[in-house]
Amino acid sequence: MLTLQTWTVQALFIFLSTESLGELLDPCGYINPESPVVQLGSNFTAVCVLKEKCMDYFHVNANYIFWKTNHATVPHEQYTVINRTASSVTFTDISLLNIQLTCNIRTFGQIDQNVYGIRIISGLPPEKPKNLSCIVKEGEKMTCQWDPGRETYLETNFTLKSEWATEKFDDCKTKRDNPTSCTVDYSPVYFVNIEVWVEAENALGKVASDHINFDPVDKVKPFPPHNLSVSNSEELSSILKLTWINSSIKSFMKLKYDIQYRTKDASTWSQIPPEDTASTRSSFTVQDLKPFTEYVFRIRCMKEDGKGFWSDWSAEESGITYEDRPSKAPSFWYKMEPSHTHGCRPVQLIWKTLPPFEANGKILDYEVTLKRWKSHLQNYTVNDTKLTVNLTNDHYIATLTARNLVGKSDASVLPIPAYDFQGNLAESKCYLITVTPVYDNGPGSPQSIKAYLKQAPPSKGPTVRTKKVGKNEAVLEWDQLPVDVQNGFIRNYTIFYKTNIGNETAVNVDSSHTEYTLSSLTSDTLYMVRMAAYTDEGGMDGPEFTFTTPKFAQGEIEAIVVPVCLAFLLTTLLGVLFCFNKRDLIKKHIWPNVPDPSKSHIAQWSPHTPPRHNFNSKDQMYSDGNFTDVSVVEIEANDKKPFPEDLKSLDLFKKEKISTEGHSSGIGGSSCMSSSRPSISSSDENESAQNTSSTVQYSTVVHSGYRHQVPSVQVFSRSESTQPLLDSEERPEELQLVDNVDGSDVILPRQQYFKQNCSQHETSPDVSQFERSKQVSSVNDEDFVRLKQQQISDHISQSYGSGQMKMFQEVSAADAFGPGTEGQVERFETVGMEAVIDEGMPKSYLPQTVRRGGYMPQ
Amino acid sequence: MSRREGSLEDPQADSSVSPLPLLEAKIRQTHSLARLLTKYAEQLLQEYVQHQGDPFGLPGFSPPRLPVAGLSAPAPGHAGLPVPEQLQLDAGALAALPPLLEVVRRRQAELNPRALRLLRRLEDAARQARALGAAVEAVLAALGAEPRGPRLEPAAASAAGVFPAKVLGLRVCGLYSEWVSRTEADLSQLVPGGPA
Repeated sequence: MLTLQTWTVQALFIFLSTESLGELLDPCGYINPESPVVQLGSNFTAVCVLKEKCMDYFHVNANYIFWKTNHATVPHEQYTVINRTASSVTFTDISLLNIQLTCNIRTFGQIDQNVYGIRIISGLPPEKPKNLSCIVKEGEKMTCQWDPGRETYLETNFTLKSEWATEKFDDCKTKRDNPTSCTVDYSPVYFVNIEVWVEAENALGKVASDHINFDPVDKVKPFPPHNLSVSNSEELSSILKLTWINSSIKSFMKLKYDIQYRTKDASTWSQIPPEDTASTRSSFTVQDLKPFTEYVFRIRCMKEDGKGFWSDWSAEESGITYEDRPSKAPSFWYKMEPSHTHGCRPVQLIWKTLPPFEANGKILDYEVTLKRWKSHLQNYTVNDTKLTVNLTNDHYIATLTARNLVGKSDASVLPIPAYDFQGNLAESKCYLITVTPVYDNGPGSPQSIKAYLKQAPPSKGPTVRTKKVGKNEAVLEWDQLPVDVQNGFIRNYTIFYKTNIGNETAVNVDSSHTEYTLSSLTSDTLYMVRMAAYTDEGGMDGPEFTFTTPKFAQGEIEAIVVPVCLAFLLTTLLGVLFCFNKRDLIKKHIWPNVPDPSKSHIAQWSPHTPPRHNFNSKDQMYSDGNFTDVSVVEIEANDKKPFPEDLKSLDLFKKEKISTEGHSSGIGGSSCMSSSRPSISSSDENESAQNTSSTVQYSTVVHSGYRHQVPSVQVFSRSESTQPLLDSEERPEELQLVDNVDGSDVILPRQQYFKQNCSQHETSPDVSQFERSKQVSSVNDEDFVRLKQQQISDHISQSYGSGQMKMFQEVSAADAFGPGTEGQVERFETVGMEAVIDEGMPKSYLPQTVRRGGYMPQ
Repeated sequence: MSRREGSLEDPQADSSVSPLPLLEAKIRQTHSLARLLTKYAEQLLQEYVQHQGDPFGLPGFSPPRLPVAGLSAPAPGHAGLPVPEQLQLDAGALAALPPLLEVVRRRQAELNPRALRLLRRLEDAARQARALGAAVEAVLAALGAEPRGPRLEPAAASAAGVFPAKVLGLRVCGLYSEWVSRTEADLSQLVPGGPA
């Protein structure tokens, strides 16, 4: 009321003042801006300017200005006096949507005068519209909708713009009541891409949405299929065929469908798999339906490729599948009528109507048959659900079938016992007693039980046998007793078992078992076992069964044998490996290479002793300690195979002398007297050449045969060695004596020599020699040279033997795989040089097989 | 639940929905547009005849085939030309049709101001002819051919008198129908697997 009075006073004042000034509604001042629209949260400043004549009239200036918002005085802190006539007010963070701002002056007498008033409108600029989408309903024009974004609190206009590549369409202005969608006023043209966007505009700004470009045919919502009809098939009771008419849009657009159906009483819809209806069609057959059932269908469609929108659902249409024969026989029972005459009894047969899902159609009638024993048959066709017949006192079998338009159900069978039926039960016989309850609406589920009138012990005991016998356990098994020998309910079994000498042990087993494991048995023991079955009235033993536990458990023998075999195998393998590594040693001990005297060659004794001075240095180099062994070389002179090329090439350096000076042989300068019989020679002369520092030459005449064979001709051997001459050489008479004894004795003088050079076995000279022969390289190289010499001499006397080739190969192998020490190589060179020197001799010697000491003169 | 297939209305309706290459999609779309406009052109021609009164609607009426300045009917040898040349001729004709249709619309607005649907159809036909022409030119450009053949300069098609004006309109509507039909046939040669 007070406010009203204030406004009235102010209006009167303004009216009077303007009247007095001779102008109509001439305010005392004004506010700038006049109609501001301010963004929420921003700052705003308004300026009030007083007119001079008003200032003079009221005797005021800008200092007298005060501001009010919605009739509340604004604090003076927000004022700014710009000059004498103007004062401003500033508002920060404007939050009110609508503010009434007035400029006022306080005149003399504390009278407040309103000068001017404005309304400040606040709001927000429009947000960019989002989610622009369009739909082209068939038969209608295109409608687009969008999300306008936040509330602006201002009047905001939305304009839907659209254009083709070739031309623009008229703008679509939204209506006030629906600013988020717009329907264009031109008909859509399918298959021409159109570009659409939305512009939002208000007093604070203008913004456009993203442009969308599409073919209107991809935004179509077609009319639903119409004239849907449903028809059934007499041939198939589980199908219904739908037919419909598509919308006219089908002429230029392929369609797919969504078909749903339900039974009439159901509330939820079932759906045809989409892949079955993914192409344009006007009919569809639904299968696997229930017979004689009413189904409701509906259908909708959309563009085949899924672009666009589903149509609305079509009108629902229903149809009933065709009938099928009843799937189940009706429930069936009987009642005995109380009235009974002699020889005849009335029986009422009663049954229930089948439920629709079992009747599969309309039941036309029921067919009842009564069969007395095995002869007489009576048929009745009944429309009702009961039938009363007069039967004799005999036993009957009644059957019932339901019939519909398609066929008959299976038959229900109901036995009707004879009138005087009574039990003739025997003892010890098992009876199955079945009780079927009969309710008003039909029979219930029957219950059965087995029973004996009186039990007795079984007439036979169970036959036990072993299923599996182990070292300490045995699995027994048995069969259930046949019903006719049980004579009662088998309550339990007892197993008796014992050994020959032990006590009998009994074990009780539940009657449900047919297997039991006896444990803690003794191995390798004979057991006797029998079994008894017990009813409530007693038991009966079965036949006795014997079995013997094995001595070893399964796998035990294998557990012993296999490791033993493996150990033996491993030992053997290690032995073989050891023997393989030591094969030379073993060979030397077990089957030494024994030269065949019959293949020996005669070497000529060279009267000239080759100069030895040039070997002195090397003789020193090969000290006693270096020389450890002597090799054995087999030579077969009969083999005339030529030497390989490399062997020949190795021999080139001697070739000239050989051809001009004849054949020479002897390593270390030793030479042998020639002999016409085979002989065995040794390479010991090399040792003598290398291992002795003395320059004394000696030769050994060896007279020996193969093993214990005594050669028939005396043999002489000369050995050139720097060793001091042995007694046998210095005293030929002793040698002569030696020649007459066993071969082993022949080397007696040499034994001492080897003792000096080798710290080998001393017990047997043969052993010492074999061990020395292990030294492959040096001696074999020597042998090679000797072989060459023999080869040359064979040019004269004999052909070469294959043994020579073999020897050469051994030498080569020794070169290749031997220790390869420099000493050995040098030794070879030494021997080679020695051989060259020897070739300078007028006579040559054939290299001889090593035989204890020295060469055998040929 | 398995279902048995019903009868298919369109035996070719089993095309896949896999994305087509851009050119193929453009050809299909343009061909579909031409087929749609062919139907629209027939409807336009029928509607035009309905509004012209006798003797246009009478059976056996055969108006004189007046020459239309700047546009001729598809030549008999058109079908024998290479496809790009066919499309160039189509594009040229489609570019010449909108002004003619606009002339007819204006004349019909004078003669049949109440035939709003006809007037709307004529207006739409001009717009749609431009759209189809642009689409054909896009296809030509995609094929690497010149966008358009010799430009047909539409002359100031006008006819003095009501009857000649009606006959001119009939002729223009007929030409429109012939050219969009011709364009559809020409594009169908490019549609992979036949028209969609």
